[in-house]
Amino acid sequence: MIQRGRDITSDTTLDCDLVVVGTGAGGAMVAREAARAGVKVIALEEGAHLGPRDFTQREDEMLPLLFQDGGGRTTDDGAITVLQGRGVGGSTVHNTNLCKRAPATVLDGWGVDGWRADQLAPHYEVVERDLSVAPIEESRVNRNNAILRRGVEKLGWRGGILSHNRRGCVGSGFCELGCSFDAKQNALKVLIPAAVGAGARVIAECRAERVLCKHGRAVAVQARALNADGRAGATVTVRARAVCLAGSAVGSAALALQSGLPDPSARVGRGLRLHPGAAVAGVFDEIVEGWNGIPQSWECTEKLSFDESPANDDRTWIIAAFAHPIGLASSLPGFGPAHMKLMRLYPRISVLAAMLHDRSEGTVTVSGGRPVVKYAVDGADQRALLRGMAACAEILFAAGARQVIVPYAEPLTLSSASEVGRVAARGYRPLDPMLTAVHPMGTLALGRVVDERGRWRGAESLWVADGSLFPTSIGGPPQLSIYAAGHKVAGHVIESLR
Amino acid sequence: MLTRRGFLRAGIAGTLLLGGAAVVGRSLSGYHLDPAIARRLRVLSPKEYLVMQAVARRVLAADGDDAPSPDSVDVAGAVDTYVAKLPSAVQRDVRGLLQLVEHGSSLFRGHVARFTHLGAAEQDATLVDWQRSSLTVRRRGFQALRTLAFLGYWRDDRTWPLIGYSGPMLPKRPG
Repeated sequence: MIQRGRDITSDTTLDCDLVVVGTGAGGAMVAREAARAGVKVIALEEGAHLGPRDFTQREDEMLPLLFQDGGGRTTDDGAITVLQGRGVGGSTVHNTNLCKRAPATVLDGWGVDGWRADQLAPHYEVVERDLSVAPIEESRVNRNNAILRRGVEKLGWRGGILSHNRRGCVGSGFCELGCSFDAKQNALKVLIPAAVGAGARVIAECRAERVLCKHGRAVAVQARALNADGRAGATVTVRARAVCLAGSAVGSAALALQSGLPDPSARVGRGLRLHPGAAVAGVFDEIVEGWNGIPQSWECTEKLSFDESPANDDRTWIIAAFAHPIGLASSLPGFGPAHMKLMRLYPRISVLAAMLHDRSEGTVTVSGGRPVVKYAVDGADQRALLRGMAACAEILFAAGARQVIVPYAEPLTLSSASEVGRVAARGYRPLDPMLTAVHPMGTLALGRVVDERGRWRGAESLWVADGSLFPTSIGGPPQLSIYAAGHKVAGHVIESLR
Repeated sequence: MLTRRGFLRAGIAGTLLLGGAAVVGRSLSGYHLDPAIARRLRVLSPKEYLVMQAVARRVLAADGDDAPSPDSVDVAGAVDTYVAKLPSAVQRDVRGLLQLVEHGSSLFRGHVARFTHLGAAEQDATLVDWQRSSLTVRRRGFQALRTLAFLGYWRDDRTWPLIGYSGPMLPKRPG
């Protein structure tokens, strides 16, 4: 069953074998696997349980429902917007369905037994099968992505088609606002119904506030049911033989810190990676209408090397990054008539983004009961990011852009490829340009905060199954790896409960 | 995107100065809003609505006569509706930011006029001050104001023909 917090009107205590906090890729996978194994599961989710009929394709209506703080969560200095999902299905509800395994060099580089590429492969295979992961057909590449492909091919750079978990996609282009056509084969559509079908109970609109420990064991999660306007109501206490944190690298770390969980490694909330990215816009003579069709179907990997030497500044993954009007307006520079003039170019604009395979480390802390994300892009990462932004400009020019706009506060407008060096010259300072991150990772890392099975070091019966586990950036979309991690950790949790 | 929790505690001297101005400003009067609009507000005070409206008029100043005005699509009202759906901590930050703009901006420009009492050119200059400030907290405030204004404007179907946006495939639901 799926229950709503607003319907819980008095303090409640529930008992189960396993309580899972969070229902995104990791949490939903753990819930499904455990329920199928006969484990009595309760999954708690802060956001609402929504479905295709709730997804209106309107930014102002969907942002508050699908994103933490209405899409307004940022790093502490405001320099990086950290887009994180909320609601049953977590970020899998709003993501663009990108499915890519973490590179073997990254996984093997972690040096954590059980997480080498060959050891994780069976878990990836299950996820890819269950979520219908397949390459996007060439005929489905939209104009914005075709521009990326054209530019990359003209430059002779590396690139290719991406795989997604979508089936029956009509190409509406509103993926980031939830799929009104139920084409996303995600946690919401595939895993949660399977978990519920196997007996799991999901409580949406219920915010976990504390993990309770007794004699060194996690024994319960204390939560608050949220009423219709989001205010905390009744207390919900879920007593369990095991607790699994799966509320994202921000949410899980914040909950752990708020709960005062034992931290022998002194690493809880540290080691945060974000994959911060910067957008670059090209103005074309041709019609692009990048809001139509599948948003991200092609990638450029020319500037993405997993060589971990300090001298490697080629650490950005380049993808198409189109947005609907509010999103685009926010990413274009300036205000007033000059900004309005840029907006009029909307149908002829192509947008690419350089996403950083970052080495900078941030932190998650808690203040006043809410997470605080601190993260500064260090010098080496700034260099790599600027190289990636310049590469975006090169691609756009190669594809035929007559002008490229780099969205600094004082816009940098380039008129030919020979000018891309001006990006590095302009440099980076916080908020200029604004960065966006959608992949927080690493705050409860494998081999540090948790052991190689995902079990908490310092408390029994406590597990982690989300992007917090990754000890480093993985340099690509993490959802497939988080699903796979959830699948792997679920096996260990089930075994521990037998 | 929006201002975030902690905006008023950014740990720099300028923040304290701005915060003080905002506290003083809360007690000042002289804001008149149509009572029918005021009754509809869910989070913003009438004064904060008027500050948001003034900011929106500058951020969304058009380059031609064909653009719907920010007032005609009620940008400030849309911001109020949007912010009402966010956590109370974020609501407090948005309200604090609007107070800062109204009363804190003048401290950096050598006069005591409120933002809403300035002429258009002076308001633009004030926003540019925020945009270019050496204080991260002001640059961040500028980004938040801009985003709120864009959200209130470009969500409206009437603005879409201006930019050739075909809009959602689904019809708008009533209410």
